[in-house]
Amino acid sequence: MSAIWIILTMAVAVYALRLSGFLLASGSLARGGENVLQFVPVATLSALIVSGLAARPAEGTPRLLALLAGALAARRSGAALLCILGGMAAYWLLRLL
Amino acid sequence: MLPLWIGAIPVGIAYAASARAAGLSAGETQFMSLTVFSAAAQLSAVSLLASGTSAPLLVATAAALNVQALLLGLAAGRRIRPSLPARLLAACFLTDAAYGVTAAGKRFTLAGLLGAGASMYLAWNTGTALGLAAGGVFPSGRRLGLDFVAPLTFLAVLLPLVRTRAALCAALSAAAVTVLLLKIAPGGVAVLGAGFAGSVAGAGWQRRGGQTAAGAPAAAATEAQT
Repeated sequence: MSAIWIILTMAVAVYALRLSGFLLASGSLARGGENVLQFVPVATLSALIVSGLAARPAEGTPRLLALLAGALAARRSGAALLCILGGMAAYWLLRLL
Repeated sequence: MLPLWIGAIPVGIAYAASARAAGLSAGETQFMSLTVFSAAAQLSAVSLLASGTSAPLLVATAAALNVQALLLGLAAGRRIRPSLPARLLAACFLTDAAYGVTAAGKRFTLAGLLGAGASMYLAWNTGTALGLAAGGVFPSGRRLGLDFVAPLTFLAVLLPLVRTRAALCAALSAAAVTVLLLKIAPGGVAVLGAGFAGSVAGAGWQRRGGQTAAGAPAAAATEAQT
């Protein structure tokens, strides 16, 4: 499948999700369903971070430490941008060592 | 509104850099921002594409990352009761940032939601274009390790979402299950399986502890229901 088709399928899937909430708003969704759904993004993001680390095992340690540095930078400042910049800076620094 | 712009533009730049590092053309990179308009979905697609994940898994992961859009739509729909054409239009721009800005305002209106969403759309696409324009500066993205921007961005998006023990439980269980699943399954399957397992663990923790709504979307949905 070419990249354009993958992108278009993704666009349709994401749009369908955005629309389905509006369409369901008049009815009601089982509470159990809403309870599980609210944690899907948190769990998926966490899984993506771990699989991203595993994709380059040779750089596992510097990347893990750099993620911690990014988390610290974000906690102190509350800014997402500092997490990315701080993490990249720590990563490059650790690779030089 | 301004802080959101300041947030969306650099993430757009980071997305463009990782998309180019993963081998997408400049046109495809911008096309994805124009049609998908979801930082988490696009970054996951790009990093899974780089690891050779199959298309159905890639699309399923992008959808899993946007499940909260369903909850946001429920909450917004209950508050403003839009007509069908208005729903079709509002769904194009519905993101948690747009919902958050509208909910923080004095009155929750369709015009407010559309305005916030459309300006985020503009910022996101401007960021992508800027990242593409700057792309020539980094000739070898992979050697510089620019693919590491994706996990860092996921972390930046994840941190503010982990506000309760139930959410922390979901994140940690998902991380542990990913480590296990990666030993027996390809990356895309591991991410989806761990995402599901982590969500069930988080909901289980919440039920056991009797905690109320963990994330903003769920809180908003509850509020709109009452």
